[in-house]
Amino acid sequence: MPESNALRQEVSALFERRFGVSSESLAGLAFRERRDEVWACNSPPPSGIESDRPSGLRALRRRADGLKPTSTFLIALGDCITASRVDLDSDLLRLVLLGQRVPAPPGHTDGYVALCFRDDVVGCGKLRGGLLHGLIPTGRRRELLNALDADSRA
Amino acid sequence: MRSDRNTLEADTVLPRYRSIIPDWERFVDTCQRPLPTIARTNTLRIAPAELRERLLKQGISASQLTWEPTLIEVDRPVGNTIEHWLGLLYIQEAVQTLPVTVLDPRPGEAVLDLCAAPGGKTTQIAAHLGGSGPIVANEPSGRRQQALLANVNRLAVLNATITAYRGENFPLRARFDRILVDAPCSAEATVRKEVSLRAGAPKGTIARLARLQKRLIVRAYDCLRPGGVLVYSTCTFAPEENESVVAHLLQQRDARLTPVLLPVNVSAGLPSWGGETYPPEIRGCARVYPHQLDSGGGFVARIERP
Repeated sequence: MPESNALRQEVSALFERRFGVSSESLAGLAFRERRDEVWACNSPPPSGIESDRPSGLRALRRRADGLKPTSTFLIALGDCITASRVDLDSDLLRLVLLGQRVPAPPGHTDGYVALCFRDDVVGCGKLRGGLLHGLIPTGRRRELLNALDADSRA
Repeated sequence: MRSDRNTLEADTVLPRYRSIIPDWERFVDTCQRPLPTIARTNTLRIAPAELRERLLKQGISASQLTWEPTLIEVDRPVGNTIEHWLGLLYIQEAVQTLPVTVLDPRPGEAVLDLCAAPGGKTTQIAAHLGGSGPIVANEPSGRRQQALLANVNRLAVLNATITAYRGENFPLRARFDRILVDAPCSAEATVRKEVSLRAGAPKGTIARLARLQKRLIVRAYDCLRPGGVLVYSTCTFAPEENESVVAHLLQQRDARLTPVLLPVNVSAGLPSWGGETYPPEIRGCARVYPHQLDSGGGFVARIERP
């Protein structure tokens, strides 16, 4: 599963154009595609090691409309993301985590966004037709809802 | 009255080790107190002082341990905080951080964590490497591998490869600079949180685990490159799973046991147990008891391949 220049350029262009991530921030990472998934890794394993799962983190999924970043990878990029950040207060974030579509905040174009809470990236969302919905995996959504509940009680 | 109570309790907590554990009354007393909660900073994502500030802002009392500032003692559970969810911290007993401290992986090195789940030490190794150098995190159990994966993802480790070999059959094709064998064990040293272990683990369990541990330590040693470092650790007090296992490796291979150097007060490896006498260098292993660190207990050995 070697890295290809074309894939690197596609990934770098997406993150730079949509999320304002500089190409230098991704420079140490190798991107490899397996089936419809793109994985990011900064140190491949020694030769002779076999694994069912690629090294590093699942960074993107290839969909009919292009590459969709994973929540895990957006969280890993964190402050490197300088564009398409949508800040949500706890009430709005809670609604998004519950699977609801909420009115999109002004100033963003349709497409994938980084959902943020108190300046931290918490996952991937999508804006479409003036509505925002979350794309955080179900189990992680549940955990974050619990953390928000605990946070509001503190 | 207090001395009567202590005498009674002293006879009910791991009595097999009364002759080898120093300051026995304090040991017994500590075993009956709850463990402090420690948050290890994920330095891949945040600096310890910054994490401490974030916890303090939430009204959580948080103080960095003087001997290891990445460890933050907190006054309440933090497993349900946003910071935990974000992967800024990993909840880990202080004693459980010692094996990686001894392993001391450096950026660029290839590291194998042979018994990796649930991933506390794997993610600690990742922090030491600072994102440079491959980690192979091996866990044969599918169920335990899920926990490992979840933690590797949560802490945003970009240099780990997860494998599922039986540890004793790990392929010899690859060679590593550093290897951690945090072996499956009878876990007697977790007695502070597992009250059922106060009587000690069954002898049969200890014997079965010791056989597995001997196979694991030899295979791990064979995966080291010359000049590489192997750390063997457990969370048990049983010498059969500790000193005996290290002595077995020294018999089987031309391994060099080197003294474990730690920034905390610990005890030396035992010179003998149960009629077995160990090589003198085994004194250089570290036994950690709960009252020495106000944590759980454990055992750590550091081995080099010439």
